[in-house]
Amino acid sequence: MLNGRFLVIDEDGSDFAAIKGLLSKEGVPVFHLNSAADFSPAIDFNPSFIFLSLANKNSIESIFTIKQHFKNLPIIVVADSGNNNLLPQAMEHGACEYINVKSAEQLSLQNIISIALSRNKYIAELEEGARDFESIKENSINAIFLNLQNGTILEANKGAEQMFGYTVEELRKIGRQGIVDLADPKLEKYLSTRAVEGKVRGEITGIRKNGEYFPCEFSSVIFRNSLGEERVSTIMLDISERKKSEEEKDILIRSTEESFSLIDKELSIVMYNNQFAQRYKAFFNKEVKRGDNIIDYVLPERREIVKEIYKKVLAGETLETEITVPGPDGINHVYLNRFKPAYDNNNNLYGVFVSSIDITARKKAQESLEASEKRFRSLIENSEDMIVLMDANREVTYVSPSFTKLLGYQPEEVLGKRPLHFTHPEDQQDALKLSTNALNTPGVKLNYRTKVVKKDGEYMHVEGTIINQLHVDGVNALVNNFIDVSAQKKAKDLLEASEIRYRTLFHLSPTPMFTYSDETFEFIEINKAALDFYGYTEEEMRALDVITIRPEYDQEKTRQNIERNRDNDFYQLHTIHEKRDGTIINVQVYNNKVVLDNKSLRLVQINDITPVIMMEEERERANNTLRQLNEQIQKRAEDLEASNTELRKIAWMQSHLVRAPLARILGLIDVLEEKDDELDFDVMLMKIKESSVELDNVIREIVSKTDVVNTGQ
Amino acid sequence: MKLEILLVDDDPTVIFMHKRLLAKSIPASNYVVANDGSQALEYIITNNSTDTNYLIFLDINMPVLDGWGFLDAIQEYDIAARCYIIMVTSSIDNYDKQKAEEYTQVIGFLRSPFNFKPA
Repeated sequence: MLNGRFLVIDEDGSDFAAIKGLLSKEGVPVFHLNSAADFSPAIDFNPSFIFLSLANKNSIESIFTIKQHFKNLPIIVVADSGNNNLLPQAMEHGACEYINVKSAEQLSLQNIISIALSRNKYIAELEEGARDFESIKENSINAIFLNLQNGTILEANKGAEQMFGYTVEELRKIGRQGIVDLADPKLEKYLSTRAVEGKVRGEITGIRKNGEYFPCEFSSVIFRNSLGEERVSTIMLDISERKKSEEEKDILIRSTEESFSLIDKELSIVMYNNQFAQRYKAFFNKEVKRGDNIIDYVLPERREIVKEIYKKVLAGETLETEITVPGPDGINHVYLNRFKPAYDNNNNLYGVFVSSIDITARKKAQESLEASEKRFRSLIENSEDMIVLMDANREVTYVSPSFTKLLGYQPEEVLGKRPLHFTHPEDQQDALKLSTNALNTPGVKLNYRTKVVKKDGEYMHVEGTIINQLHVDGVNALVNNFIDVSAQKKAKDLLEASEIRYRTLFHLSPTPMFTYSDETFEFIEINKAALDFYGYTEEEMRALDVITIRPEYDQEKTRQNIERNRDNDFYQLHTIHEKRDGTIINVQVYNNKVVLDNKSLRLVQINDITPVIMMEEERERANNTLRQLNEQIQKRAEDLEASNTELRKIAWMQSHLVRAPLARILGLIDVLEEKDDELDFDVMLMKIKESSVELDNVIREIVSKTDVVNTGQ
Repeated sequence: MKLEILLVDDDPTVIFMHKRLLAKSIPASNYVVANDGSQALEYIITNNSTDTNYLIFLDINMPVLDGWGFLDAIQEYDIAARCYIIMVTSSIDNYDKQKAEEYTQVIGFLRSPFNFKPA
């Protein structure tokens, strides 16, 4: 029994008549159209089956038209021997069965329709699957290739075109070698693996049309198509973004100073960063390995504590510990460790995430800050400086212990009050202005001098600074810092009085004195004695300076002298000055360094030594005369000595040279007087004669020398 | 102990007169003549004998080494202790006599001419 509504498209109506005849027994409605082009929404029928006569013109195209109007409707083509050749084409384009109306009688039309229905359903499913697959292929951002083992590309999807920048035609032309870095050492290994195992997956470097290299993840499978031909399907995925992100993540993890680790429930190390590895290597001289038990990296004495920590964290707690351990550098390091439970994507407890950071420096800084705070607090509390802090309303929020000690007020007596409360009535107006000024100029230090009223009613002279630090975190106050200067004030008053006294002494002194600027050499003050001494009026002398008070030829030397002695607190020297009337005077200068009104001056005292110099010159002249006389006497003495020498020579000659021949003569005469016969008389006579001649010569020489003495030549 | 006599003078006439006086005064005496201080020094050093004393008649003014030079020179030798010196000079300068007294070896100062007659 057949159900449904049947439409027959037949131009000449013969096939319609035949089919109608065959279906007449079934009692089902059968409609007729001449051509598929006659479909119109106006035609009011809804066929379940369509019979299409292949004898029609454009019968194959009609299949498309039908399919556009009635998607998935089974189409049975009606053929005869004259158009059998069109059958394969019709089947390929969507017909699900055919019928030869001439032989139809021999077959059950019901069977044909049943087969057509089953086949149509199958074709519909197949087409749907193919469409889905095509859609996947076309919409995939991955590159999908149909290729051969040798790298020839047969087909490629849009994703491949987009990924590599080539059209499919270009990809077919260039093949694998145009899009994969052949220098990648992994390539050869991948190809051989695929050849042996039929499939391979991995990472490889791709090359885009613009020459850019990029990392790819790929999978490649060898299969045989319906014709039994060997084909390869290859899918490539551009992982440059992922790689970049992984690298960035890596940098992030590497750059952190914290050490991270993930510990599973069995306390095995699952993941860790470089800092973790480095730290544990430094401590234990051991390479950290995934799978190691974290307790093995804990100092034995802390193991039970650490186990307890993990136990608590695995129970859901988050803990923080601070431990001090001796570092490999020999100094103690302080670490802040955070233990947090770690969960997987399904929110199941996975283990413990541990982060740890070396806070030694921070700790030290904190300790140093605390020590410094303590020190400053101690300084403030023990200082003689009084410190008063005020808020923006100028109300006292703090007074230092010295305030209480020196002024006598207890903190509670002044806290919340304005400082005017203890300011001298004469100075209150100025004090008010000062604090207003400070409020308007944050960060500017303002100096002041005022009088404050002590609790016992006495006044105290104070000097201080006020600075607005309301904006400085941790201070947030007008900071008023002052000291008792009553003693200094008194001393200063005394000093001023003394200065007046000494100034009077300076001006009344009979000794010429003046002061001059150490920098400009100008006279600052000149006393009356100096004006009298030099003969100038004060105005005239002020027009000069300490250099030009000298004669011109001596000025350069003076300048050098002054420069040389600039750093000496005192010096004295002998120099010459010039009076108004041009008289050059010798003076002894006593030069003292003095500081008056913060200016460096020189105080000079002049002593006229011209009379002394004149006396010295007179004495020098007398000495010269005496020296000349002495020289004359000396000369005379030398002359006398020369004469004496000659005289001594004469005496010596007389004593020795005269006496020698004379003694010989006398001796010879003595011998002759003996009248010894044995004596040769002539010889004796000759000896006497020789001695006599010698005596004569000596006497002549003496006479000659005596003449020399007498004449002085 | 033996005694040796040295006559030291550069003047042959003086030596002649010394010899005559010695012949008369000490007839059996032997003597040695030296013409200056250096000859006399050489003699006594060369012929030094510890059992001999020397009596030396020494002139002051002589060439090469004078009387003073001789006196200074013998101070270096132990022989000085065995020298007995009589200075013989024609000089009448008292300075010479005073100087001679400074030497311990000088035992006499004679002014020529002289004889050994009692004064």
